[in-house]
Amino acid sequence: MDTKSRSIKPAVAFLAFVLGFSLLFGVGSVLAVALGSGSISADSLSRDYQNTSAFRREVTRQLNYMLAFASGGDWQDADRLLYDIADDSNTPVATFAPASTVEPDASTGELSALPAEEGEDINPRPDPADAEFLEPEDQNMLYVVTLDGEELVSNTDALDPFALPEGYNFALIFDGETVSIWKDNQEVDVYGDGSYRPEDGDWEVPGYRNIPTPEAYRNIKVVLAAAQEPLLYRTSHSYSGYTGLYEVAQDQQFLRTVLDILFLSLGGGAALVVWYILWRKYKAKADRAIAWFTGHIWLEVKVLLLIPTVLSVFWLLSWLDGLIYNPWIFPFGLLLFWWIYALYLNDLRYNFGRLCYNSFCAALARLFRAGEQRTSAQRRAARRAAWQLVAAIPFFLFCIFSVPILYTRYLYAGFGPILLALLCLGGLALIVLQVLLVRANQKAAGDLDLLLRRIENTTQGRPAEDVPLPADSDFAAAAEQLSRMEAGLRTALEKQMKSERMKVELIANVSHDLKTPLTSLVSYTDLLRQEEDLPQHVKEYIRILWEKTQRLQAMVQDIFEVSKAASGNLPVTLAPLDLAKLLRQTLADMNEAIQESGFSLKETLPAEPVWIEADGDRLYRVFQNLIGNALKYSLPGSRIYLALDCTQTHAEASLRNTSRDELPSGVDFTARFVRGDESRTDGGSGLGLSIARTFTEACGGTFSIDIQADLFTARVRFPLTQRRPEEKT
Amino acid sequence: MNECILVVDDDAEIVQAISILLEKEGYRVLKAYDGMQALELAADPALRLILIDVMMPRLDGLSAVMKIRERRNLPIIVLSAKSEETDKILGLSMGADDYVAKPFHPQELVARVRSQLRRYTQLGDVNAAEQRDEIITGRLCYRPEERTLLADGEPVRLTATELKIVDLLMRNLGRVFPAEEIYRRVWNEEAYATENTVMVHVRRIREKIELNPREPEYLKVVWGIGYKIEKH
Repeated sequence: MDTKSRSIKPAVAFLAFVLGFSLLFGVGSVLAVALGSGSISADSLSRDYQNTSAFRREVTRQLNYMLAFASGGDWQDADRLLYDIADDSNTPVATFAPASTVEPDASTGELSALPAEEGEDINPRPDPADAEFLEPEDQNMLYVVTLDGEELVSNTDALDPFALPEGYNFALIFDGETVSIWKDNQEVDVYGDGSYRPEDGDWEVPGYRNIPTPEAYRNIKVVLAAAQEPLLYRTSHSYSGYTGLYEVAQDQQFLRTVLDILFLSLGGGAALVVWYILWRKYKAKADRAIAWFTGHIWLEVKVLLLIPTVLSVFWLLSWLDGLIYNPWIFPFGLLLFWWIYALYLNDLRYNFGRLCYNSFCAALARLFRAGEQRTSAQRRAARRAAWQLVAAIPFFLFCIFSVPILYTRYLYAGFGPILLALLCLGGLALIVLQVLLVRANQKAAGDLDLLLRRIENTTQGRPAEDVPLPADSDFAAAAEQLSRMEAGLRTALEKQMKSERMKVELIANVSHDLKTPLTSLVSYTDLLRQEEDLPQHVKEYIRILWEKTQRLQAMVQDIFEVSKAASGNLPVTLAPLDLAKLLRQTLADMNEAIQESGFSLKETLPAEPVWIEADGDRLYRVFQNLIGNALKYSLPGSRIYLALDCTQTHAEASLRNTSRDELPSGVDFTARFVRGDESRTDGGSGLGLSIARTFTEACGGTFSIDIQADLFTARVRFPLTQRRPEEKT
Repeated sequence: MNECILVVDDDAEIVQAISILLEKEGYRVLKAYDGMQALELAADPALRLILIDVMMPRLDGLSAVMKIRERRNLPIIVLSAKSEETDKILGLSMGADDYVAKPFHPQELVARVRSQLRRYTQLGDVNAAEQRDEIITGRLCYRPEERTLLADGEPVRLTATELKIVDLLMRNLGRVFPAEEIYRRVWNEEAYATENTVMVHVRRIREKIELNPREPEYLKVVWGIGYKIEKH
């Protein structure tokens, strides 16, 4: 569970990072591009389609059709922009186009709506057939057009702008002069300050102060109503496939949905970024994992892949002009490249020092070197010489092929033939020289090889004479020095072995010389002990004599064991054993002595086996000495603690007791014949701790003593082993 | 019947001390002070055992043992001031029957002499013994059917528990038994803190069968593992 979440968290954090920034940047730039290109505007945010410029355009277009129709003008002209800005003067000059041609009066700058030749017939009767273009069957927009108080055209029975039918909430009234608009029974401000400014998105209807309403419209009255939620009415016979208000509403709804999705994505992206920031330490883990992966890709591959990536960025930038045609390519393309660069940056950040190591060339070189390492120095040198020769061959070939050319050119010149012959000879001589040099190098490499082998033999203790070395070689001096070194080494070794042998012999001899008189001492004291009719005080003397000979005997034994261990001559047989059991056995073995001493010995030994490798007999002596010491030197009535603690790799047995006498500071208690008590009147040989230490070390353990005031702690530490005793049958 | 023992050592006082010790036990003692003398005296047909030191002038102990072995088949105990394990092995391989390190405990020496003599004189029983179901290791002989343990041919008096332990260990000579297993098989119950109980019995058995209970040759503790009776 835990490990699972540990591996999932970095992936999630990384995904949040990538997705979050992709969404933020991608959607953000899509929105920016859309805003910049005018694909969306403040209108786009509106949920009511009647609040959009598209709706206003549609309504005014319809109104202008009607006005054009009613005034008998060319209705098709009304499809053009109704307000045409003539020039850039502050007073906008517009042509209103009920009629086909409208000439602005240049002298006044006033709009002359009525052409002179049509002055007598300002209101030609409309052609009823044109009413078809007012799309009467589209019930999303109801209308009644009246001319001179007489209904001209309508697609509904009656239309009261202040009592609209069910489902209609927008009313427009044109009274011949101005337009008033009612939406949800509230009057809408149509004209603002009364002057028309095309950039403001004002209603493009007649009635502005700066654009006089044409005379022809004076007698026309129009009432118009728009549905709140348009339905599809116009179908097959509709012109240009345009479906009027229904389409305006549909477009607006679609745009709204798209915007909702975009804003949601933006919010989601921001949330993901926050998530990533909270989990950035996990993301760093993912970064490392990715870097580990990319680190295994050869540098050459990375560089080769980077080149087209960089080039395509330039290609993309050259496409900036094409943004108008496809504004989406840019942000997404840029995003893609950004992530590719992020991958490279991540790789650089974690693998910078190893970039060259993980390259094809380096791998090849390593492979080559590994192959070389297995061959001898001679073979290596030979191979290198061969490569050198191969590399020089093109040059030789060039020289040789140039001879015929030179020949044809200079044959008839005065010294030509001689010169050519010399050139050829010179070339041959060069080749021969090269071959000779290669040979000589090969021989030197061979000698070097012998020398190396000889050094190897010496270090591994094999006789050096195995490998002879020619006296005339380049390495003769080095070989001689090596020989001298070998001789010195041999002498030192022999000396050391001799001294070692002498040490062992000395111990054996001293042992014999000490033990022979001791044997007599023990034997005769024992005989004395068996004499019965002796005075009491003599018997007392004999008892003391007997005790001291026994001690002397134990001491001599200890001395030899310590000296043998110190000179490395103590035979130990290491075998796996259970230290906990050994301690329990030792306690059981010494049980009587412990009981008699009156001390209480508290043991904390683990029930499960603690396997170490040691010599059981020696280790028993170690703990026998330690416990014996503790019993001998502890403060009466105090407790002795024996503990065995295990770590992952080691076992440590510790014995702590409170000393009876003050412990002198700065004394190495494991040194031979050192005791806490300087007067040496007790029974110890002074070798107990020394034996404990030397035996522990001979078995591969470590022995240490820690003294804190009167608290004496001896520690025996052994590495744990995986070996188990072999079952003997 | 006074058995004759040859004591050889270049140190006259030691020879003297051993002589007194052995004569007190009722043995007759011949004395020699170097290897050559030993060889001469070893020809005595009444001789039953030889105690010989290793380091001696003229002919060292081990060479003398080899020479004597060529002619006589009688127990030889080697005395040595060298306590090296290798010396002991060398001595035994040269034909000695036992080895005693100097300085020796007088009582132990006497016990070893007695043990060797008993085994030597009872050698005639070997054929009869082999027919019976016996487990023999060195000085020890166990008869599972009779449930008796003989040391140097003498029955050892063991308690019921001690006998069960001996039975288990003798039937599996050389095999190491942890205290828990001994306890389970002898007392027939699972136990806690068995080490002390088993150790007490082991020590008592040692007192009865070992020549020097402090340096046991048969019933041994394998430290950190368990207990066994050594196969000799």
